[in-house]
Amino acid sequence: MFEGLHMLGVGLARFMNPAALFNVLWATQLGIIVGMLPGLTATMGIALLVTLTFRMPADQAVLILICMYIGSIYGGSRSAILLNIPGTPASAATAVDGHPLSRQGRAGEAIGIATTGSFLGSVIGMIMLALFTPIIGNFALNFQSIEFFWLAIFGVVISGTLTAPKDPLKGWISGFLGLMIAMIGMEGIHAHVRFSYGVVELSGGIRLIPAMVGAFGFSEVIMMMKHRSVEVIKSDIKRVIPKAKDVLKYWKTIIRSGLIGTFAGAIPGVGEDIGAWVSYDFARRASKEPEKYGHGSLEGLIASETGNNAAVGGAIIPVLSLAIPGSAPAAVLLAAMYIHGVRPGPLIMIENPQFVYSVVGMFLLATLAMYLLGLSMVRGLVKVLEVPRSKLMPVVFVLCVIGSYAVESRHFDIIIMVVFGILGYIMQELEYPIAPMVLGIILGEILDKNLRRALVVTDGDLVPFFTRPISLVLIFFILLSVFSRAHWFVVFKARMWAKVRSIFVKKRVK
Amino acid sequence: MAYEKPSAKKKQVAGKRMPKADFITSIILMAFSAFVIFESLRMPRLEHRNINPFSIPGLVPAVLGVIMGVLSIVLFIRSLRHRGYVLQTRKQATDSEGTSTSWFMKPETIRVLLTVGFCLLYAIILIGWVWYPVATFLFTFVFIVLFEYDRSKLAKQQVKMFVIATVEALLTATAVSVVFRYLFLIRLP
Repeated sequence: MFEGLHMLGVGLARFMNPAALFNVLWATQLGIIVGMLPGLTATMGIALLVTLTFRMPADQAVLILICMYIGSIYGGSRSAILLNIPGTPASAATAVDGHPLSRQGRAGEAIGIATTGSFLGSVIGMIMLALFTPIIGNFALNFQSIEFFWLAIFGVVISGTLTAPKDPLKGWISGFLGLMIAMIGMEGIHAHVRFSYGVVELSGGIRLIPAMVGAFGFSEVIMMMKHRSVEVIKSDIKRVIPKAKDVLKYWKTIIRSGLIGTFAGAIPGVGEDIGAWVSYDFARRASKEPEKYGHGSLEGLIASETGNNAAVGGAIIPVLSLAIPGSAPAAVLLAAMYIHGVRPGPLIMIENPQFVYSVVGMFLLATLAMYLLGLSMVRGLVKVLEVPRSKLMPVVFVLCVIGSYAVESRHFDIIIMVVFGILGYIMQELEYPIAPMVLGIILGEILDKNLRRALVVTDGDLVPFFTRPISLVLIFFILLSVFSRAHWFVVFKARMWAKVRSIFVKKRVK
Repeated sequence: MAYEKPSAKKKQVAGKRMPKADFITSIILMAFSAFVIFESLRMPRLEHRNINPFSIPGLVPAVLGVIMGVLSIVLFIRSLRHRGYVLQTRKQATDSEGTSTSWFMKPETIRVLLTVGFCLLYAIILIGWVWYPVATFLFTFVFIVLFEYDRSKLAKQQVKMFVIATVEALLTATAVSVVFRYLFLIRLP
């Protein structure tokens, strides 16, 4: 415990120099702007910054990326409140109550509350990050090949279920498509090159950064250009700094949303958007004034904003402890850590525990910068929202091209970016979520190596796959998430529930 | 049984929105998984290297192919239940009468095709063929003009737009080239 605090202090002290603090400020501010602009998402912002920072020392680069991550997830609330267009998908729930507030002439108040909510959510996420990364990391040391195999399947299945709540089948298809894409290139056990068909560039596999820049950047450019732009409604922004009374009144909602957000973030491939929606939903159910929701409820606004920023901390927990990303932006962060030679995963608490606490320190700095910048320069930044899409999108595409090219200086990566952009666009049009696919691309290698290793160890016997305790827990959750939407399961659950209730009620009558 | 209703309703929603698209995608996915399984079975077993037969390279792709196959068959059956195989329902046919060219002529479709086509032209052909800053300038300038040009007005009246487009394209091309070439030391494509 005290060792952790000591390492956090060491981590923070390392960033207490003008250069690092300057990096924190510009990266967070850039993050807020990226988040604000519809069409520029957190994932893309981080992916583009990876290329800009890959010549920096590892800790500075990761610091900048985390600032971008926190800034952009928060920044999305601006456009959600002022334009009713979530700047990033994470702010979709924010728009529901934020925009009505701005139409009532309370835009400044809404921005202040959203900023405070994001700040507190981020703080809760950070505390959970510091507490749970070592615990999960140490626990994962018990994992063997069989557990890692099930963990990969669990990640893809649960991410598919939760990112496509209306139609989980499409989520799973997307996830398994990602796993299949990961099979391209040289495999990790015998170095045999699969599915490359003589293309030399494919033998190294599909690189994550170009694929993600395409799937989240180029596809978004196409999406944005599809429709004519909407006009900006100018709203009067008065007092931004919130009243302490307004915030303290909702302390229960804040803590609840923070914990829910962190939990949602920590589930593989389930990101900030789900964190915000689930927090919002829980807050509405627990609220004393649910009728205000959707018409400008401060509580609803604070719930969704706390939820999405807490999810950032949550999403980094599995990145550090298991090397499995909790969300799409966290996937880029994971890729960036690999590029910089940091190896996250269960061994991190043994090999490099200082790094975990340095990340917590970075998180703290980014959170403070986000709060400071979020409450200042509000009026000036609103002008950014007036830039028309037709002027912004070509620049974004130019950045996508150079961003995917820059990491390895290969023209082939530009082609990968374009292919994944078109694929991502088609998937969005057909209502397939992209996040499970990205998670699949990352988990593919883990699945491939561990399934074969496990089969070698058990000599082809499948029984140990179903008898080890951790596997059983993972299988239980996989089955639960697969069948949670099935008709017979819902009926079965309702019947069981009715039975339990009838027993309980009878007892009480007696 | 009252509790059955909501779930039944939910089940109808999934897959009902776009049965035709699901029908076509499921066929493509089935063909894709069959291809992957076939290719995995064809993969070398590396017997000459005496490897453990459970670690052959084709094992995991084949398993994934089977899972994907099952998922696509489920999607296929679901689309059949929602009559996805009917290429055009009678209602749609009467709706689109008179506007038979509807899909291709829709402004959204044109905008999407223009965006994709133009981006492809820049990323695949222009870069590597023309000097990078020039390619970037051309792309940015033409992109802005393409989407902001108002056909109802004379070109003369839109001088401001052309000027802004030129300035923005110049700035983008110069800034990106200089920053990446000299600050990040990357050899431009």
